[in-house]
Amino acid sequence: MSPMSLLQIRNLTVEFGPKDRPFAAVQGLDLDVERGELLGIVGESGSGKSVAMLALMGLVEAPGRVTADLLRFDGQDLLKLSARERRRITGRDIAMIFQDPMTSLDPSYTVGFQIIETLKVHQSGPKARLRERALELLRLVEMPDAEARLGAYPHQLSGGMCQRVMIAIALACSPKLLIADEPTTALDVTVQAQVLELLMQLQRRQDMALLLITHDLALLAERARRIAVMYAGQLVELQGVPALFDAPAHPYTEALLASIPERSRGAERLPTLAGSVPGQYDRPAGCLLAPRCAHARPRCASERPALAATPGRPDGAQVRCFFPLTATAAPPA
Amino acid sequence: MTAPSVAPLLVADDLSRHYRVSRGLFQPPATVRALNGVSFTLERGRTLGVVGESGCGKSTLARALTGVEVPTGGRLQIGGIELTSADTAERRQRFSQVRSQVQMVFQNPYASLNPRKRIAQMLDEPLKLNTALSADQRRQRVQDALALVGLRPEHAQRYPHMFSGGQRQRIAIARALTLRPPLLVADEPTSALDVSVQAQILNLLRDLQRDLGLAYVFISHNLSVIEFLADEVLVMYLGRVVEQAPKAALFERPLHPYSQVLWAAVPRLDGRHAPAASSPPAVRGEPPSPLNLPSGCAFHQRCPYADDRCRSEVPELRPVGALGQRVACHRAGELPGPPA
Repeated sequence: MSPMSLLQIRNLTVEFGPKDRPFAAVQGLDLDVERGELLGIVGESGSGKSVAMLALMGLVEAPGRVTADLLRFDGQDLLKLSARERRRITGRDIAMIFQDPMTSLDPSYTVGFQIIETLKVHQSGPKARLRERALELLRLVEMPDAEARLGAYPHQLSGGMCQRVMIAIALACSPKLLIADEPTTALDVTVQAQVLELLMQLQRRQDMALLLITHDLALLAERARRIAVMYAGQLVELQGVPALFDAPAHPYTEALLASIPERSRGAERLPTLAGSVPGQYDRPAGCLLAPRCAHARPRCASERPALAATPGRPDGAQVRCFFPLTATAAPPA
Repeated sequence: MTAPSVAPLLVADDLSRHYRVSRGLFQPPATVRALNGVSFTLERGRTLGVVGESGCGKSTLARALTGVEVPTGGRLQIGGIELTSADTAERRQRFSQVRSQVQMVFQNPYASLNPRKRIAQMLDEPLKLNTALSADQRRQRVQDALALVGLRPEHAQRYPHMFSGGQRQRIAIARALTLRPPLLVADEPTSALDVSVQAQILNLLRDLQRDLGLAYVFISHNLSVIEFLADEVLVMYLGRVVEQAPKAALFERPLHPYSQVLWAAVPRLDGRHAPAASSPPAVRGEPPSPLNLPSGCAFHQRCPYADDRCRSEVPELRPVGALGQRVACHRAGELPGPPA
């Protein structure tokens, strides 16, 4: 909540569909990202984690409607900027990489061309200098045989190498914030480990904030400092890392953790949440999790809880629940 | 064709599937050894887990087991029916017999269901093709299969787009069960699903195994899913089995350097250590192209322990240790293990 946060998001809402019956893909998201931190955003499909970040980047197109009370990045209010000024920030100071590197790159241009293209937009200089910088970037992302790869086309590279190229492009202008949306989901585990290791090294070395969006809690367990959990368009829990895993405060986080086979080792059956995520037409009036929640009480069905600090938890822990689990609650049987 | 009940349900012996691929007009075609001498047996009611990364041959194995691909070498026997070493017409005949013994569940339930057919039609099709049941009997079988996977009778008249991903995977499982096969081959059946839905499908597979005595060949890259379901595990790398072991032993202490690397690379909830601190070094580089396999052990270029012998001689699977593990590594047993 400090005024010095790199990124402050207040009440970010993204709506689709007719104005009189809108569907909120993201609903009232409040989030702060500190300089140089690794923040994880976790949620299942449809939780709004990707849409929220696309909205931040200004990439949600009509008919989607983005509203927010505040979108402040590095001291500048993004909402007050013209589209042109905003584009200068996104791409240079905020960069994003996506899930599937094979489809993010243009198949008809060489890797070197695509890196230089990005450099040209945000900085000028003689061609040889830009090429030199592109090579430097490929070396930075530990591309094997970097010099030769400048002239390679994406189809000549493996998935892991394509993702390295995407990271090189994202880093071209030394961003202050890198948003990585499921950056390793399309990769094999041993390659995933290498790419994540690279991202974290770069984050530390360049003092860059890294926002890692994923559905894989285990991947964040070893890496993130704080984790935001999203459900059906809302942020439901935000906690520091050992705490979130040792004592989740929101019933959804608890259920999500319990449904990972590793968490229930030796169990005959895995604990599951009944039902499925509410869609456009069956969003409950009260807490969005209430119909599926094992701890739901009458109040949960009629009233929507707000995101609030929880008593007995360290500073900055927030949860959207009337009856948050206590830090000492026994793990679910 | 009826087998004595003591025989294993599935016997694969030195199973291979090689492809010839063109390398261009003036070059001789190359051979891809997608599946290279894989042997195992599977008993009724048991689960064989298969793990490995892209290109390791796990999907080719699934296709060979279900008769989608014809193996180019080795023996395959399912439910007592010999499926290889016969001429083409004979083999086709035998594979049609084996349809009622083995069925497959695919990775992506958004792609494996025909969007233009009702669920009832889709589930009816295997029965029409493979059995002589009357329409009424078939309808009953379809209803039974839907009930088994936890869907309601009225769902039979709906189309796939009306279902969520988890429900679609249930439908795909129901379709595989209409012929009541004792063996299901599941190729990454939960990797397209969210974790909470994955848990529901894994529970369902467990329940079906308990109630129907099904055997599974369960292919996944997700180690914790394998740990939940499997009795025995094959670890594959570039078409070969590099380690074959009972689940408990393998998860306690993987012995092949590749298994160790794989286990170390998987993010864990309880492993909240700095990844750099774990003892087997993370591998450099990526798997070599299956078109151009290195000499000797296929893993030697990425293996931190490789010596001259590994570069020249292909290691065979051999028993190592007292826990029933079989490892294809010259140096297994003398290597430092992973951290406890």
